[in-house]
Amino acid sequence: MEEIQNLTDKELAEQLRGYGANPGPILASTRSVYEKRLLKLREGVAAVDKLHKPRTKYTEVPDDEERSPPPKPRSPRVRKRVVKKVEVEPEEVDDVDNSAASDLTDNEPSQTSMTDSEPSSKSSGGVAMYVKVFILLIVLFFVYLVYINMEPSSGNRVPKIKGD
Amino acid sequence: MGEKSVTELAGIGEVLGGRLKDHGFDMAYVVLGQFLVLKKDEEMFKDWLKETCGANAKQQGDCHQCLKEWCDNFL
Repeated sequence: MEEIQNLTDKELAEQLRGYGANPGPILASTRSVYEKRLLKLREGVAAVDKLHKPRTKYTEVPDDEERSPPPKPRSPRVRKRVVKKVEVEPEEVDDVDNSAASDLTDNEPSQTSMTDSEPSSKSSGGVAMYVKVFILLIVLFFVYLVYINMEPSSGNRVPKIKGD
Repeated sequence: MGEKSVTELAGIGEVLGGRLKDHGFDMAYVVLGQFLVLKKDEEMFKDWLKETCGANAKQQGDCHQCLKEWCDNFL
């Protein structure tokens, strides 16, 4: 390789032509690639592919057009808390979101805010279960009303409110 | 091609464009010039691109294809 680097531009071009290549002008910007080409031709392609790949002082970077990596997912701790809080009343969803958001910056306050925002909830899940069932019944009642009204033959069977 | 910056070439984004500019290849037509001086040889041009700005295989291919098509149409 040193020998090749010591060649003049003309000699380099001549040597390349000797191997059947048709080099363009040997300039400052093209010299390096032509030296490599000559090395490749001398040593044979197979050997060179193993030993000598185009060297660059730069590290490869992903295409700028490629999307940047997705934002780092939230810490698993948040997820665990959210999972645990599925059992709790739906009213507390807002609190969960708030504490989840603040969890990104600091864990401690969010935990305390969690405890602060649940004054009414007990440690056991028993009480919460009753409320959940109650709300479910209300929803089912409304679904029943909708279903009743959807049937064409039944007419309007929604209980009438007096004073209409 | 006109006065388009080197970052307008396919495969050349901000980072690679910056590196090319450091080497003096600040306009698209200068890189075109290099492509022509290398006699539009694909392998030579890709090698040069890799060496000059560290382009990966995809970026090399995109840039080469871009210039090749331009030459096929306008040169």
